[in-house]
Amino acid sequence: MKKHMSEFIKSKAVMWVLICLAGIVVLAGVFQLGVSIGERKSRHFNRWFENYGRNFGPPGIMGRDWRRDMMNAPQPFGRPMLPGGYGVFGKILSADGNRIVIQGQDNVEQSVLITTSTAIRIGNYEAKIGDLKADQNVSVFGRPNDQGQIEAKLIRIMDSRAK
Amino acid sequence: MDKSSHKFLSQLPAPESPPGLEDRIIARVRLASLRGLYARLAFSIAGCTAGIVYLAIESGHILMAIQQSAAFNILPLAYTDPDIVFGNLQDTLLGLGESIPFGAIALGAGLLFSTICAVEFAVALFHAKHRPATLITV
Repeated sequence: MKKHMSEFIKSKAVMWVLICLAGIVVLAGVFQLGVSIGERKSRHFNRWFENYGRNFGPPGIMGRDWRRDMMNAPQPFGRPMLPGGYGVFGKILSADGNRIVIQGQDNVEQSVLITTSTAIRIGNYEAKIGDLKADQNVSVFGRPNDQGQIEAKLIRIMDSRAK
Repeated sequence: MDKSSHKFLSQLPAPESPPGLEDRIIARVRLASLRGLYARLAFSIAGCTAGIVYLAIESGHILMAIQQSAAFNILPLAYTDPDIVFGNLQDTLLGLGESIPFGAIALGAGLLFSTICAVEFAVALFHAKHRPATLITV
């Protein structure tokens, strides 16, 4: 009986069943991860959309009609390109106190909140909020909040001429 | 061996294969192998062509998706500011996950794979045609 079980476990059929099960588990995990990331991105876009007026003023006031732009935006692989919530990279449109507005590479404005824990850096130096000026290129890394903003953990000023 | 068995065996034809049987078997094997190679080559070329056509049609959008991807901006930050990027690893991974252009990467990987397969099968077919003996191992 024991020998029988041992042979059964070592059989090719059992091996294939185990391989298939492992494959299904991996696929399900990747699918779940994709759903989770997509959900977070959609949630951030939804909050960005709902708070647009509060964060940026009425549509068109900053020279763009974001509704029209989103409608006309090309959709690679049939999916709309939603703004990400964990980072924005582009030009500063305005800097106002602890909040800056950045036009990302996708031409979508993102409101970035600067907190006490935000590191602002240029080259190898630490910079101050006052060093952030309009038209500077910056890389922002952070986390999305409930107001559709990005709470910055790091702002790196990319313009070498800034300091 | 008894007499009757000996008599029976002596009446059987000599244990030799009919003339040309070996050549016919090798020809069949060669034909089957060549057909298999042609089929695989055709599938590879079809995949490669489909990928190139899609790339040609959607090249602008795909290029834009790559250019606008934040992943290529997050990665340099890992070099310049590792303390913050690795200190917030969950956010970094989520940021990469939501911004990596998976569609473009999948298309590129598929295109590369089908191209490699097409070249591989074309070379195998070339060898098979010029050195039929290699077909046995193909």
